[in-house]
Amino acid sequence: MPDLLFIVESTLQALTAGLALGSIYGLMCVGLAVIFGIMRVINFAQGEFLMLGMYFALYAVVGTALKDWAGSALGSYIAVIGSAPLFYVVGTLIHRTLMSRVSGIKVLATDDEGQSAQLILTLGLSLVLQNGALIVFGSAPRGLGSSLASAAWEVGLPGDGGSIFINQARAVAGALAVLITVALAIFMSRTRLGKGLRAAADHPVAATYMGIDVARCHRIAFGLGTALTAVAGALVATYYPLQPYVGLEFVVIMYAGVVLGGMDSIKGAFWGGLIIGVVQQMSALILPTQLQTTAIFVIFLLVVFFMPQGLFGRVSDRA
Amino acid sequence: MLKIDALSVTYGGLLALDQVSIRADEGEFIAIVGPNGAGKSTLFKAISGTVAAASGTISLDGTDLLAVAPPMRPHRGIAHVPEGRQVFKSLSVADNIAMGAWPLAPRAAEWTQTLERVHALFPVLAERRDQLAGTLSGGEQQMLAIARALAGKPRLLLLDEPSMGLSPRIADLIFDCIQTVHKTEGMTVVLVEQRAVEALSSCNRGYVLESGRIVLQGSQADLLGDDRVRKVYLGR
Repeated sequence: MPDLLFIVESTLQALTAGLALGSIYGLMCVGLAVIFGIMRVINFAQGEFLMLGMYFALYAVVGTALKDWAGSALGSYIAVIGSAPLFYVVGTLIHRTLMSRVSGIKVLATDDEGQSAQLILTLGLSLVLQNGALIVFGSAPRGLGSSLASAAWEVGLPGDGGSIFINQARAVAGALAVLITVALAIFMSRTRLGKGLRAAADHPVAATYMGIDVARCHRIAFGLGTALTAVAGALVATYYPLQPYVGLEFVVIMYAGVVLGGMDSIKGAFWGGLIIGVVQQMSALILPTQLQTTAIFVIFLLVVFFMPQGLFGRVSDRA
Repeated sequence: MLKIDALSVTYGGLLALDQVSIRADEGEFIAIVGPNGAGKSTLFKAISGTVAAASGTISLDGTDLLAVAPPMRPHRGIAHVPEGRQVFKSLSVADNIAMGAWPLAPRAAEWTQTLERVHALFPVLAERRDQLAGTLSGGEQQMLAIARALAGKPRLLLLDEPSMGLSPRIADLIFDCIQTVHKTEGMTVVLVEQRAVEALSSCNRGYVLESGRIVLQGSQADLLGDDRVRKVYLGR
């Protein structure tokens, strides 16, 4: 039965590839969900934060002595770790100078809760970053050249042979993405600051009555969301070529994932991204690769149609 | 302790509070009664800083409260139990109480003590500690809102319509608890209520607020003896 073996083999192959990619998509979605969940701001510049994270990794590895000192593989993971604090600070600065003017408690009383201004600001930021990157980095696609990007682990299947190949760069990136998401979930559910962030998201006015500084919570949330997305970008850079418009390729996945999982649930956002990764890879088994994105949106529309609150979102009762 | 002097607040051109002056001394129980829309909640929001004062002063222990940023005011010892409870529905009961203790940055020992204190007052919250606050009944949510406020060990407790939407039996229970806290801990309490009988019968002094103005003030005996208060608010 060589046909059956082939089907099992390629299904498992697609599933493992989908889980690795989906985990990375999950982390991107978590970045978006942290900002939306806590600030109620839809950040349209999220794809550009991802792109900047990728370029940071690129220049940290090829632009410094990191590559010679640690090698292209280890070096790129050092860059991933370095991107977190840097982009956290970048995010808090963007919040302090721009976002705080169009979000927070003071806009709750306005007609559209500041949403028009937020849309214009984040969309504008996205265009400025995209075109700024074009000027600074140029339009030619670049690559990090990590030695893991073209290396694979071969895993033999039990029984009568056959084996699947797991791309090392994607697998490591996926594992790190899972680790970061778990760490974030623990931070949000166990620590005092994490609970404070959730309280500020749940009821900003009541949080103020508790002595929680909601503006500071929003700054932390925007910093976290920016850092998570940039880290996801640095992870993507270990296996994917980059150019200034690369964010656009992923931003669609981010929105679809976040909506799938429920707009304000961090865990849900991760599962949403994971599902998209798996669907995208599995669909390649039966559909031409050009239709991968179509498959994602068929699933997306089905979920929106039958479960508009998302797979993991609560039916909210905000009164 | 709390001194409000000639406070005016405007809402989009409308005068919600007009030259209101109120005082609460250390350990006092102050009741503020008045009809719907008299500006009672606005008064508390001005104290907590979620609405801005147009003119007048608010001071706590002699320091100008209006100069303190709103999220820093609870750190000065003020706890505000808002109208409509406003518990954090997506957080557990225990986490809601923990948020009330935010100004204390609780350490383990102190936190256990805080929990025991509010659980003794409201045993039902101990049973439901891991439940999401949004799944509690109205009465339980009100208890949680009060427990959350007490967790911060405030010196001044602002209670906005704690009986709203509750059955008379639960409302009585809530009033009893407030009395207990006031008597055993000597906490200064300012209570805003539509249920004038309950409010006035627990207070030391009281104010009657109508259309943003203080129309009457006095001791408990003065207010309970006032003809107009008896007719309009007590229905006798």
